Amino acid sequence: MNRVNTLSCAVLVVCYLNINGVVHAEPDILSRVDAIRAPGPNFSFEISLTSADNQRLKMSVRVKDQVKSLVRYLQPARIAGRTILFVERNMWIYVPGSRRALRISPRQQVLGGVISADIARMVYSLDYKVDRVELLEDESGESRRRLVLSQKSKDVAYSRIDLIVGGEEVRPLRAEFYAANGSRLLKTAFFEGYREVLGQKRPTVLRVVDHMAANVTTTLEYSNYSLDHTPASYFQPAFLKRLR
Amino acid sequence: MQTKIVIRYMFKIGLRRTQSERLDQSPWVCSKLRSFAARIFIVIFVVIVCSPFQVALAKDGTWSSATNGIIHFGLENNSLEKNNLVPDPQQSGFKQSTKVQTSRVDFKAWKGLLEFNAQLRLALSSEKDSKAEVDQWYAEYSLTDELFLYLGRRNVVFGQSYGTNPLDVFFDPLALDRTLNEDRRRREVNGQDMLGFEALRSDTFSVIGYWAPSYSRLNQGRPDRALIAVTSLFLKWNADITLLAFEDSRPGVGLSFTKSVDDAILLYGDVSLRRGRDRFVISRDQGSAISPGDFLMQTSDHKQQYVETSLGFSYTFESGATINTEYYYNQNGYTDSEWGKISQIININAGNLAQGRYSGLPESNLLSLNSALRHSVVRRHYGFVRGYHPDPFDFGMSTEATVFHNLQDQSGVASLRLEYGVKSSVLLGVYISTNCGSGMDEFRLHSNKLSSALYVTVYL
Repeated sequence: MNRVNTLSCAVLVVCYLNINGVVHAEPDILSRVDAIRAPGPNFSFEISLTSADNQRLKMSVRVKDQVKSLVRYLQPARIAGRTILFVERNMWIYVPGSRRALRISPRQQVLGGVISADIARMVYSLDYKVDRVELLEDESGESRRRLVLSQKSKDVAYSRIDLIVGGEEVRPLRAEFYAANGSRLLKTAFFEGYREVLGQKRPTVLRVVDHMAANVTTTLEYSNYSLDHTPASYFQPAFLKRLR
Repeated sequence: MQTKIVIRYMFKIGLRRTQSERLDQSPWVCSKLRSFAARIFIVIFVVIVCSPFQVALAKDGTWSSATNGIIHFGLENNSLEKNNLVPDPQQSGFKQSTKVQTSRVDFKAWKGLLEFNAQLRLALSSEKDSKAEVDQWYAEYSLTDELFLYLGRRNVVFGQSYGTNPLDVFFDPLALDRTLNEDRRRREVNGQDMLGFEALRSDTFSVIGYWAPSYSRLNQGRPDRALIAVTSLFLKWNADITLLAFEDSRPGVGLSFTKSVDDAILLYGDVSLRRGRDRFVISRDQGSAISPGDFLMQTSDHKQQYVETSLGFSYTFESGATINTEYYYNQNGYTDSEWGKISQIININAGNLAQGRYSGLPESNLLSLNSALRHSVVRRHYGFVRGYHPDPFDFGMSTEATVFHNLQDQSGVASLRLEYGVKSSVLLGVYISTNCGSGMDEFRLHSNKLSSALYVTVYL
């Protein structure tokens, strides 16, 4: 009798949630989103960043074991050679002129409202968990869902992210980043320019709108993806001065 | 406290060092050992650099190279104010207005496991001698991805502090050109001639060691030096620790730690403990009055350890602005009592000069004192604040403001730097700094009041 009651209650709850456009999250949905953004745990690529005032940056990025990233500035000439190392939640910058790698906080900015962590960190599933999933109005004939993510720990850059995904393959379409109290919208990122990259359609353009700076837009274009195994010792502050 | 008399400032002119003090600069190496060391140095050079060079050449592949550099044009202006220590700034060598042009070339070439690096710099000035410098030149050989041997001249820096870095143990901050930005300030200085290694274990542990002997033209004018540093990264705690041990005229040990508290807050500290002191003090019994016949003495004091520490905190706002605050303590600096005596000596000489007594001597005494008091900091307790914003006005101009404040006499130096990038390879910059305080306060001691620099840097 108890089991029947419990089952009935569960069915009622599911029906209620579906009526209100809220559905259960698949357990690996964030990992699937990450797998579209990143072709594997070890890879490299290049980023061309264009800010609203038309400043351009070019960077090469190496990723290892999902959580380690090396970002080296290639252009413009006046900051070429700077390198940012991101290992889990640890971050260092090497400025050739300082002759030392300095620890910095993930919030420190690169340019045009894009913080370094936006570029170096590509895994939502490690930092965030899905609180709820909402079905959205189908505007383009494609099913869309809003994944409301909350931080797993306090040392991540954003406390809440609303991630809009499309289709059965859960392609990331848009991400809304919220401040510490979870209600103030800081930025919106649009995942665009889907192309076939290393066996799968992946976004190659990330457009970031900074709502804290009069909706200034920064565009990041991703290119030259390759699956590489960078030696572990490269991901040490002491190695940064050697990176070519 | 053991002291050795090196300057009789009142009746002898100029700075003179005793034989015993010269020996004190390198107490661990006698001349024979030094000569032997130099031979070993050359042998190791041949073994480490030349052999791999042959191996590298024998391997398939071609040489790759990268060259970049800058051309810098600057107009510097100093507003000077005479005081008791510097009664005539012009005569003391201070320049009011200077045009500078610096050209720097950085060159790197590599093939296989071998890499060569060089940094050459030509500095032209309207008021100072022109200089052609080789700041760095070294060859590095990668035994593996984790083990590197190198030989040549290079700059190696440890520590996290921004204001004064106690772990930059072999470097005199007075050599820094403060008008240069952070990208260039610590780069455009001469490195040390050294033989060294770096061993990196996985991604959490590293050992760095080098030996920089003073012989003939190698590290000319410097004592023999050696250093070993061990760094461990504690990734789960978002922290890292570096331990240092070093040999020098003032040998010692050091510790650096940093920790990210969250995505915005950083805690850090650098501490060194060194044997001996490098300050000139007035030797005078307690209670007796200072007189013109007193001596200025250098303390060698090799039995006592002196602590230098910097403890810092940084916070990054959501706008990207970052604030660093640091407390700096230097036990090597003057106590209130020592500083009081020095102030009295300066004032006595300034009085004699004003009254025309002891023809010529007060001037030379003040010049000697001015030279003896040339340290990056002279007292013990300081506060430092730095504010940086990458683009506060939303048109690509970065802003950096700093204040370095003496907590004992409340004097300080405040600076502001604005930089604007024009296209991708030109940087326009303005730097202004002002020294605050009065009378014999530290930051008004050397007559500087207001400094400014306007510069254009072209990156090639």
